[in-house]
Amino acid sequence: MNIFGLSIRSVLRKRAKTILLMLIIFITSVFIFAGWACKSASVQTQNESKQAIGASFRLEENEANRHVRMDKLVKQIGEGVGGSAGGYHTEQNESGEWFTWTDNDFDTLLMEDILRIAEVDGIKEYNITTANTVVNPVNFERIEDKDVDQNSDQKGVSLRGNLRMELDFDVQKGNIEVKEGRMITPEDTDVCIISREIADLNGLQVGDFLEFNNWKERETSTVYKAEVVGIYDSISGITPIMYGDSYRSENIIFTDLSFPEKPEGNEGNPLYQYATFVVENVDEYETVRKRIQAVDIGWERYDFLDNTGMSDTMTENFGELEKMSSLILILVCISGIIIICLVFLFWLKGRVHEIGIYLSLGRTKCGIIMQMLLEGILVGCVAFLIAAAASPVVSKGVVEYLVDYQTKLQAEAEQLNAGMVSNGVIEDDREAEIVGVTVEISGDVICLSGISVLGIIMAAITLSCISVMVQKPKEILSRMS
Amino acid sequence: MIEIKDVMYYYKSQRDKVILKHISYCFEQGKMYAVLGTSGSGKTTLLSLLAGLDVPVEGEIRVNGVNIMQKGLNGHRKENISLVFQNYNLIDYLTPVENVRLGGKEDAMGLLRSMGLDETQSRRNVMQLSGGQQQRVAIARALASNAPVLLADEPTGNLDEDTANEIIAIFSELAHEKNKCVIMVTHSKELAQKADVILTLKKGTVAATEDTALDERIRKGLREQAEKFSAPDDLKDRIMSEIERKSC
Repeated sequence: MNIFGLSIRSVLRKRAKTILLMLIIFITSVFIFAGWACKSASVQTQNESKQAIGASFRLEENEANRHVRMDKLVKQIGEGVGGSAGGYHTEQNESGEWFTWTDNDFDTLLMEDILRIAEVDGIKEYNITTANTVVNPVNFERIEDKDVDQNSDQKGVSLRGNLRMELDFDVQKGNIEVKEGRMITPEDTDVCIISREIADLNGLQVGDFLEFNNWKERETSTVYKAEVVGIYDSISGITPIMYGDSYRSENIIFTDLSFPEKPEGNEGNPLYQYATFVVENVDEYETVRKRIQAVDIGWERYDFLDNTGMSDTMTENFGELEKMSSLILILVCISGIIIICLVFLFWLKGRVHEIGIYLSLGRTKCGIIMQMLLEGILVGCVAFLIAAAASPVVSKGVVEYLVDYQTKLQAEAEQLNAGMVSNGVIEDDREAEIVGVTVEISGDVICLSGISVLGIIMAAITLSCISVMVQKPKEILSRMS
Repeated sequence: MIEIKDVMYYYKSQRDKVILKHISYCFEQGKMYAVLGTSGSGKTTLLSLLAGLDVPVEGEIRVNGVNIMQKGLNGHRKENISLVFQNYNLIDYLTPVENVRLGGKEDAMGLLRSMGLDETQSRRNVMQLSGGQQQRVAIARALASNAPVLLADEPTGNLDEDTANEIIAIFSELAHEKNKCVIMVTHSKELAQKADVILTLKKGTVAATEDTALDERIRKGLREQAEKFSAPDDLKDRIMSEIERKSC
């Protein structure tokens, strides 16, 4: 009878021991699965958290290409000749000086390109944001710093148009929050949302109308009205894009997409600065990115980015998760070896009789240990398969617990840090929300877990068999009686 | 056949307590030996050394003139020796047939049948058999290896008298009909008398050897001579009883 036959018989006929060992290996395997799944999920979690915040892409103008286009238009118009082409203008004044400028037509993102990207499979919705457009407030006062000389300022307010205000960069980041009224939707026309400060200063309410016109021609330009549909509160403030009160956070007025161009005097010639595309399924983030990049548009004109720069922050925050999963793995492996080793030691005490018989029959110690190993591996295989079936649920539970724990730690750290800020600098404390954790028991996880469990069984059995290896056959046989 | 030559043995932790003191003896094939002795006389140690379960501190053990260390103790146990123990030492999760198959490639069922076990008994769990049946399985396993030397350590210690006699009869048969060298350690002088040679160990030395087979042959000769002797019947009876009583 060979080793395999003996092992099978031992495993099948000594059921109580087999079940006990199977249970222990099952528990160990499940935790090892969880550990490996956790390690891979921690990477996923990093990606996940990245996607949870930045599960969208942003399209904006490429600055380098702007100069290239400008050079081309200069050549097209000709040296020393005034004229206009593609939104680029050059003109010589009476004193002989040359002036060049670009209009919205030159600087805007092209609507046809935006729409083509928006049609890509996997894009849930999109938003277009105009450049901050300074206009003259006709029937209300803006927020001003009385101590600052306003001569160099346009003495205006900034209009920022959005197709869907809820997808605006500052709304997404939580820098502002519409506390009164509602957000602007694609169906809105001639509407605006003002800051709490402007509302309070001018006694404005939702439903009131604000008037704007071109800040350069305050007296003569057409006045456009926009209905106040909401009032926003500044949470951590909007970072001004330029110096001056026209751009200060409180003076930024959100409007529908097509409004800013009107008081500016460019009706029908908008200046779209950003386009944001929200990915429908965060798991397909990279796939959607590839699909978008495959769209045939003039990509050289654009920068195509992750929507936020917060991804890295989140990645760092969850870097600890991988360390924790490694720690879990090490602990489980060590405790697994110790427990299985003790079980086998206990088991071997009962098997001294059997070992003595085998020795008396001329079998080698190595052969006997091989049989023990084979038995362990046979039981381990069954336990591992059961553990593999149970592992998705357990692993998910463990990973979610760790993520939750990590999030709490992070929140506590933020709270501590918040109490320490005293220098007046507004920290960019973006709150991170984990939308979910995907734990995948992939082929790699199964392989790594299998190798780990096999290693634990082999190490434990070999260790426990040392007591047999060092004894003389006579000593073992004398223990039998 | 199997020869112990100037063997000395002591435990390394107790060097002053010598278990076997330079003993030499040659066991022959076709004979049944009984090793007698009190506890601590060294009989089990002698058996262990013969079985290759331990190695002598000094001296050597040879099988057909070859030192057992040359082949290795595992090989010696596998090819030259089969062991039968007092407590049967069967693998508890195997059936009698499977236990016998552990011994070697001989026809397990045939061996069990020759030991008086039927097919049903041979296929049930070995622990469900009686003590005598278990010892028969153990002997069958020992025979399965077809080794020339059969060592038995108190093989009848746990058996009743009738069963013990049956087992000894089997050993005797193995020695005389299968030409095995059967060496049996026992406490029982009565059982030892059924062996061909009795080795008595005392304080690690061979105190006496008694060739019971030779005695029997001499007695037989004396009886024949006494029959021929013309003497009164009462004198003949006295001579006869004296022949039976005395050992040669």
